[in-house]
Amino acid sequence: MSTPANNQISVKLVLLGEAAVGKSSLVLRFVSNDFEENKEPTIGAAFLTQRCTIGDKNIKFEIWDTAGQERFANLTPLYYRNAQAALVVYDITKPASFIKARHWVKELHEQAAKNIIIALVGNKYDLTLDSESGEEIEGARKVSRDEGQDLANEENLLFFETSAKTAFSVNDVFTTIGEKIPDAVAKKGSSRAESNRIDLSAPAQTDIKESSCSC
Amino acid sequence: MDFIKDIANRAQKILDNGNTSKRLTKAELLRRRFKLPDSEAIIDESLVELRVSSSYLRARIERMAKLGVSIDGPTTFNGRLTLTDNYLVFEDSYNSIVCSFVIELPMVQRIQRIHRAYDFSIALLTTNGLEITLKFIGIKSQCEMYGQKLIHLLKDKLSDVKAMNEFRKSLYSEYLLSKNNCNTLEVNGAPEGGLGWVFKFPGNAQKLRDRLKMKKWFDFFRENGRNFAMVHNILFHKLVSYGLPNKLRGELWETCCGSIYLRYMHNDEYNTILVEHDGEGSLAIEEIEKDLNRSLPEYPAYQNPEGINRLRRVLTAYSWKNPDVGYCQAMNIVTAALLIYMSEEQVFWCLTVLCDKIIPGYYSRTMYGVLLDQKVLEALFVKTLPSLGEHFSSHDIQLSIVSLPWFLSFFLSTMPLIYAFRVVDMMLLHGPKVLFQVALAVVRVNGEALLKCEDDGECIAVFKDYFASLDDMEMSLLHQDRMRPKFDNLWEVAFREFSVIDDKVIEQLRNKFKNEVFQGIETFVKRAELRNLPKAHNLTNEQLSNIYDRYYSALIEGAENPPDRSASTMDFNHFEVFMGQLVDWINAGEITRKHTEFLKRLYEHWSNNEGIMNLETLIMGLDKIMDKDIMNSLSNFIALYDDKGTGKIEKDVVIQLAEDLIFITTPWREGLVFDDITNQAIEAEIAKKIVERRELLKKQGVEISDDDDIRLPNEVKFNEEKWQGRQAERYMKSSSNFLRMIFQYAQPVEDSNEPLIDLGETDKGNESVKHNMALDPSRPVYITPSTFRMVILADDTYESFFRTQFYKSFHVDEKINKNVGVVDNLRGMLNNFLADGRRVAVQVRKRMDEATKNTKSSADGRAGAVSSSASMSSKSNRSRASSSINYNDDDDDDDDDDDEDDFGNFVGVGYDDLGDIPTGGNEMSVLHDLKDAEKETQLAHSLKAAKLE
Repeated sequence: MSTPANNQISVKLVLLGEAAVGKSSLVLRFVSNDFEENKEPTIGAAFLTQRCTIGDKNIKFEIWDTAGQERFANLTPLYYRNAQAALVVYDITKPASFIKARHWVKELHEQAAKNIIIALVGNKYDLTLDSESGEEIEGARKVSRDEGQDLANEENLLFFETSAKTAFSVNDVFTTIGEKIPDAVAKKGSSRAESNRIDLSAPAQTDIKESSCSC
Repeated sequence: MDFIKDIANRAQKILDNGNTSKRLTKAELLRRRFKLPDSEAIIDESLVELRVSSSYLRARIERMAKLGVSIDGPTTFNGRLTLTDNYLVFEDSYNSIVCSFVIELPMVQRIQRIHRAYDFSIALLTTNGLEITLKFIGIKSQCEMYGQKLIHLLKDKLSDVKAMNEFRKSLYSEYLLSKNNCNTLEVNGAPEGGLGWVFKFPGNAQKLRDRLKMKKWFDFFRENGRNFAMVHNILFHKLVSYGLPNKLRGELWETCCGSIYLRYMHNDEYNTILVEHDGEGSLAIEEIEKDLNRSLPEYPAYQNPEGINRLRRVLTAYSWKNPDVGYCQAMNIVTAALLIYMSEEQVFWCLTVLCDKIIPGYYSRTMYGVLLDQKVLEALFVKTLPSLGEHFSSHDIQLSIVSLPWFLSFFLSTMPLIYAFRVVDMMLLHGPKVLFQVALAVVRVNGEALLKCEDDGECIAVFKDYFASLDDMEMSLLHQDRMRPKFDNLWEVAFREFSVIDDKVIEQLRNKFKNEVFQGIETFVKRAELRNLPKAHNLTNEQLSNIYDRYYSALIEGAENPPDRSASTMDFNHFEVFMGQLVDWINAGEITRKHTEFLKRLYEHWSNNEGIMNLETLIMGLDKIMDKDIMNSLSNFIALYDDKGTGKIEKDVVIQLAEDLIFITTPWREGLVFDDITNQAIEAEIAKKIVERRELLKKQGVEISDDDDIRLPNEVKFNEEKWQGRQAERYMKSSSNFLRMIFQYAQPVEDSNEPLIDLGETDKGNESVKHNMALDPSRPVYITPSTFRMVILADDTYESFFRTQFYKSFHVDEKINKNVGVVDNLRGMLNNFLADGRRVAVQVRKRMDEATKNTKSSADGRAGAVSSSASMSSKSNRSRASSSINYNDDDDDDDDDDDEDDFGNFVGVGYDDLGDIPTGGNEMSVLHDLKDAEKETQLAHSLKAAKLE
């Protein structure tokens, strides 16, 4: 097992978004570089970890993958509490999921840690392309790239369009968040240290059991 | 009562168990204990001494005797025998585990009296071979009455016997016994079963010792009966705990949880629901479709249309049966799992019992049930495993985060299926306590590893590894020299170590945390819902919050369950309730044609394009009402009558409007509440009185120091009736003026180019002509919004009404309090005119200041008066300087005065001159001793205390 590097950082990241937009699939792609066609819906929430080296930093992502169905929204505050990063995911072929994404962004701005890094992710990019020709299928896309980008600009979010199925842009999402993290940590300072049980200034944990990064 | 308490009370009904037994009736307790349908009522009960036997038991005893082994014959049990509408129920008084049974009455084949001198005894024989001898204990005559009732009921049920026998052919146990020639009932062909019959059952049958288990149950059924007439004894409980055999699992599940009674009672309801709703869509169905392909996807049946279709039908049918629940993720997994062992109809009823009885609120819109149980689990965890509890709390690890999926899917999504089904076996028999027992056992057996965990994530990893290794062998906890699967040890811990956790303990804890959990959910749901509303311009966040509470409070009026929050729409009846609790002009409970007409109009205009009102459209409607700009307020009001959106309102509608105005001004006309005009007049009079008395005191030589400030009297008595009368007169006058004026300025339909106001025709002579013309039915006329605004603004009373009274009559500032009717409220306001009136105090002070000035000028600048007024605050001085002596000059509200063109020349016509406004009189007396100078000083002090702004 790898010995933790001196500058290892734990990042608590939470995924939010409507049911069946591909939250768990994004995580599966990132953590195991795998894809399952019919993934069971997440009940409550799932937890996964992944280590990455981004630049000179060793980042351990602690990922909370939440259930998407509306009624599970009651439970999500349990998970995004103390989160340093969030992926708000929608399905670019489902306009309703984009509306839901807006709501999640609002919720996070109001309730989550002040300097949380939020990435807006439009998933299922593969569905808008013809698998043979690779050309755009007319009418398949229901949320334009501009709409996503506009919301991201408005709310100061990172923005990506991804495909968990083809792995398109998935790692970019996490690496970009990883790159952003140290700045955020520096800004947070002492105010959040008490409430956060992931103490970033403490030495890295020594009894880590998770398998090391596969990416 | 606020909304959350309401929800709590309603949910209480569902959650009530154990410690609230005082409040549960005997019948409720019995139904709960024996999983009988809700409709069952107790007909009679008696203590009995009883023995159960069967030909197979006797044969076995004989057989064993021949082999020289002596086994005990049937034991005698003492307990209570209860007769209900459809069942005969027995439970041993000392230990219910040793003997209890439920016999569906049509299962009784023969009843016979055993003739004995001193007691009343009967012998029963059931269709499936149970021989029960009963000796009634008690007064013989009463026992005989019991017997008579039983015989009477049995005769009634004779007609059901055929249906019952037919139904039993759908049960595998009957088929099994029939196949082995041990059944009086002949069953040809295996009954409809679960997907397992076609797609194989999970797990290795040999390893699960399925054949042996089948044999055990086969023997059990012969000697102890089955399904509708079965004895639950120690052997029964043991057999369930060992794990049920594949082919009997479905039937035993429905027998254990009581869903078999519902399936029998509501034969065919499942198919009827599916047919009735064929082709209909719903949100639940959309959600179900998303998950059909992702429910136990590794089980072969769910890679096949057959399995998917069954799953779709059951989930859809259930969503129609229970729209409050609809569909919740996790139900797909549970249903998919049940379908392996049960037919669609069996699963449908089993799901019903699960959601209604065993885990109420788990799958509801707010999932309050499962959240509550996580709280309960955390409490039990800290209590039973204190050192781990301490470790978790010091590392801020929340067990509930980890355990939530366990509870929602009964471990089906966490443990290997074969083990999760063992949990389901126990849960359907023993209820939700099983989930707690297993969950705590899982934590307990992983204690060492968990003590090393630093956060939630690491705990999850520990559990994940553990669940994946349940098959692995480890040292037995019972016999240190033996190895057995980890799961067996878990089972041991769960049901031995944690057997103390019973229904009562769970119920007590549920009651303890209920409010806290509901409050939390409520806060979250409310926050989310309010945030998602479009922006309100005139309503504050606090007002929105009040409206939200009132909205849901009105919606759940008369409803049984917590409402389906996010999708809830408000129908007209609930809207009436809502408005009745909100506005002054509806006396809740008193439904009149008038109010219904006006409310219908509001309802229609505030609903969306599809005619549906929800929180959003309601708030947008109220937001318009709350517009404090009088011109906007009038425009919004008249828009309610512009049904076609043409800006032309026809005569019939105008008449309707006039009637509605009369209706909504009722509380003012009837003097239940005073409007601004009356209030100002009263204040003026009070002020005048106070000043007069000061003068009087001075004249009498009572010393009033110049530094003394003026106090408001603590209590003022005045002639209510006088003011009410005057106000009523004003309102009546205004309503008749309105009708006259509005038609005077109505325009004939055919000549839409005619100028709105013909300035030449305002003199009295022509007015009546025009008036008549407008009312002439042969000449259709219309009015425009600006005509309406004009006419209202020309009328002092109506103007004041729309300027403040109307929007203030919507009590959006007040939290809901359903116990006080609006009218009671109004009375209270009137009687305590000065009780809480900061504003009133301000007014009085101002008026008094003016009155002082008046008096001063009329009193030739007497020194006392001058110093008295000099002691007033600077604010008073300012207002005195700027205001005239006219009491009716309202300097609070004149900020937004308008200069609408079509208003200008109009003022004089309908102007309700100020003659109505009182300037003083003998009706009012200030209730304190005039001669008591000390009190007078106090009065002055309290007025100082009430100083404004």
